Amino acid sequence: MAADPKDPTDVSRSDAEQAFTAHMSSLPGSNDSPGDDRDKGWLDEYVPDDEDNVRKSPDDGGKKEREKQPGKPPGRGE
Amino acid sequence: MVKRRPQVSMLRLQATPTCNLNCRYCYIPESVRRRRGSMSADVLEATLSHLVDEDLLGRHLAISWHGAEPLAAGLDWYRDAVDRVASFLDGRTLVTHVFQSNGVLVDDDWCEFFRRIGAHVGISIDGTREQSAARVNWAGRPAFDQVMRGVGRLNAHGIPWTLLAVVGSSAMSDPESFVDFVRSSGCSTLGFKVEETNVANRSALHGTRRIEERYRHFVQHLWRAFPADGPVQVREFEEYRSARGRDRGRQAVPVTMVPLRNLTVALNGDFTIFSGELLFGEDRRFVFGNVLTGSFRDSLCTERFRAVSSEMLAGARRCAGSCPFYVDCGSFYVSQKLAEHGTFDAAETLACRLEMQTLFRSLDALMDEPANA
Repeated sequence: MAADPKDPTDVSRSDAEQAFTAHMSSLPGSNDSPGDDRDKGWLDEYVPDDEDNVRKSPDDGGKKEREKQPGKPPGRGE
Repeated sequence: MVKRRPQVSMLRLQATPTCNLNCRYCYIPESVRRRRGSMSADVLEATLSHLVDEDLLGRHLAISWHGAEPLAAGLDWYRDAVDRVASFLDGRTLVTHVFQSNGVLVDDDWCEFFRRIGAHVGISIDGTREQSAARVNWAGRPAFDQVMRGVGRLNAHGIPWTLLAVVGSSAMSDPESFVDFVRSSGCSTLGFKVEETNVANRSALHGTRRIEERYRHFVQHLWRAFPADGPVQVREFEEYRSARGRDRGRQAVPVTMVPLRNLTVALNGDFTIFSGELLFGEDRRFVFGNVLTGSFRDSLCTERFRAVSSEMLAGARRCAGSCPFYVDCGSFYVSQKLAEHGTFDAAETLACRLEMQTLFRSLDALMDEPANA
């Protein structure tokens, strides 16, 4: 069944995603960077991203190897 | 492109506010660390329910058990908590449990528990006994021997662990002893950061003469001592290699600038959606909601979020316009900006000057040497 556009939960979710997108799109450099995995770098150094982004990652092999390594340090964000 | 929906990669849970140590540079105020108690099942389950119901999970989730000292919540508490996590999240995401501990309470029972749940364990210690002098108990006595007893149990059980060091003036002055300590400690990985100014402590490194020169010497000594194919991996050097291995010009976006990516929930259910350091002080400006009364997503639709976001973005623009390392940093040092300047709308901090600018310059200089070219 299609979601009721008047459902307050859906409205809230949509508003939240718009707010999230507005913030992310306003990060300096986010509009002129080539490629499609700008959220690399420190963003996912500890926890791999979802399947698509893991596959796209330029250091995919290393990241997968590190996943198997117990005791990997927390990322800087921790 | 950057994902256009929020997702939580790391959930930091304040299992207890208690700490059995009173380290001099701690970012959690003493008044908080003296409190007792542990997170209720209601708060834990509400947090997990929101993650599921609000569709905030990816394929992996790291749960970082936080304190002050996380092990102070007790092993029985964690046995129950880990079971609750599994009952909510098994089959929905792959969970890794992370414990960043001072090591004092680690014993054989904890080691067996860590092994059973496949936990990632980090131990905070700053080098030799002298270099770890800021890590003291509530009576002001050094905790070094107690910490090393805990480290000994981890090593005896063959549990890989990460050594996380706060680098102060003492270690910078004697990197040789620091390296010897790390090599003999039994750790598999090293992470290090400078003693920084935070919401509860002004770094002793402010005003230290020739600080960049001393830190450059320290970093370069460690780089030579811990090669990439050696037995000890160094977090900061992996980050450097990763940054230099990326296409030049590809913008890094740090976790600290992404709402909800690192989500932190306090003992009472209060949560913050940027740096966890913002939550554990007495300042409630960065409490974005409470898991018992509101949702994570709704916190993005509040005036508080708009105000914080606007200020953080203004600070990022300052960095982008003034710092050649912005492309590799992305304005990571958010909580440090607040601690040093009283606002997110600021650029340089002591931490970024050393950990980002000096470290990258120091290692770039080594790369330019003929032997490394």
